[in-house]
Amino acid sequence: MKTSPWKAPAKYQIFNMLKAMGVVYLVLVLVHIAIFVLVSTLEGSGEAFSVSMNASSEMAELIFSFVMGCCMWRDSFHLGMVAGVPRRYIFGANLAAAAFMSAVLALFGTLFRFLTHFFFDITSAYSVFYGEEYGAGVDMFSSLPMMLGGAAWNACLYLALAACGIFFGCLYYVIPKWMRVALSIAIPCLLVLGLPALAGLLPPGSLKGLVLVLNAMFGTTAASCVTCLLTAALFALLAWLAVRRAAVARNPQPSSALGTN
Amino acid sequence: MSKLSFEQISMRFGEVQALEDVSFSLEEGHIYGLLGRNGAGKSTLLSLAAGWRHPTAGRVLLDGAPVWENAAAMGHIVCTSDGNMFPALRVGEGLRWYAQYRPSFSIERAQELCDIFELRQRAKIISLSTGYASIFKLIVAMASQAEFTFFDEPVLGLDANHRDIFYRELTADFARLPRCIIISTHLIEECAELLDRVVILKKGKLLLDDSVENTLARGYSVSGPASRVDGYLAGKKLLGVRSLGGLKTAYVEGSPQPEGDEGLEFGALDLQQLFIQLTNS
Repeated sequence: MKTSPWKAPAKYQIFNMLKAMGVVYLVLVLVHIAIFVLVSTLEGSGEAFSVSMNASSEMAELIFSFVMGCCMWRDSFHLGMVAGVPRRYIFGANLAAAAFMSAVLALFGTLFRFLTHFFFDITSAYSVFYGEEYGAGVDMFSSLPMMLGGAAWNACLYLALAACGIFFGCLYYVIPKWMRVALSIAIPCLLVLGLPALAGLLPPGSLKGLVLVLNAMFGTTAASCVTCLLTAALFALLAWLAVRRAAVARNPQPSSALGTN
Repeated sequence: MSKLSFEQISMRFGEVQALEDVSFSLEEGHIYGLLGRNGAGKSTLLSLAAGWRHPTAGRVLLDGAPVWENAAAMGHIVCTSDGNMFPALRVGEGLRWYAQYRPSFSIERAQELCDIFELRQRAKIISLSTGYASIFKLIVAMASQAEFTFFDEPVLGLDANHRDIFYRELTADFARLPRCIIISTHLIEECAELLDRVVILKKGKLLLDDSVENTLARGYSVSGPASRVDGYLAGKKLLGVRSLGGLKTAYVEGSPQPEGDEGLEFGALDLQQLFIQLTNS
């Protein structure tokens, strides 16, 4: 019986990531319940409270997307190699799984925020950045086009982050240990210290130009989605370049054995 | 009948030349012993054959088509590894997922082997002992039913009973489904009876590729008092010697010529001794 060699790796990734997503949402639900119970108890004592949950679940989803990408390569590569699946199918399956999971995460997240907005004052990042596209003062959860636009934007953003995670997961697999350590120190330093320092060194006129560029890339929902998809494609290409000739490590071990899962 | 060919394979890791210009072929219907001292390049050769790494030079071909990144070719090859290439799953779960990856995998045969080896399917793969981790890999390889099955140190950590079971099951599997089996092992004496062809690597180079019968027919052993043996050896090509006190055993190339040599015993070569003599520096 002939089967497509990429289907099993994609199924495996989706199965695992759905389990992990379930855990993340379980934690989110429990946190929301705990906060709700706490607030209700305090309100019962005569004090008036309202709880704003601004982009909290979206932040969790953003982090999950990136970490999901980081964790995709190692185990799927090892299992694929022992099963006789070529690298390009393993990689393609990972990308397909990342795309599927980004869509699921965005839809589920939107549904989650819709349900929790009955109990909390929810302000999503999408409504903050792009709410004006649907008219001034429009509530996201009473506008279906806005909810769907938000879900699409979230899906593209999560896919870009997942692809970024895949790139780092692939890169860290193929580079030597000393380089992993160096990058792990250099990248946060660059982001936290280097970029602000660079911004300070730029001439005043160039900052205006930078703002224009950023506006073109992220100014509207459509532009932002295209930017995120192109970013995802770029990271996917860079990740493939890193692993197209990846060799199985000597004495390979699963991610859980390394404490990286 | 399929043929897996190694064409001028070289592999370099930084300054270390693991394999150098190795060329030979493997055919279905044979059980090969891939022998070599530590660091000879056996595991590297198997990983190249399975497509796990790209050679520095040369090619691995299956029926003329490169194995590298070739789904059709890689599907006909299975190799055990020195580490654990399965994620954090239970044995049964791992086998079921693997069955989805590899269409030829027989889950029934795998479960049968789990029962024979007494490997619990609820056990976590990552928590298996050294011996049972090896058993799990053997089960995966045997049940894969691939035309080219490579076992890299298959009996590592196995007790004598489990080793006996492995050799028995392998023989039964081979009788049922003749294919190309390669066993890379240091326990030559134990599996010598199984092998019908032998490939020997020495310091990354191919030293020997021949049938076991021809290999052992290359020479013979002569034992006796050291002085008599030394006298006998005059003009003969020596493969190696072993001395113990006043007694000496010499391994000689060619056919025995026992005329007039009292006090000397002539015997056949055994594979392990021949291997030791050929690969000694």
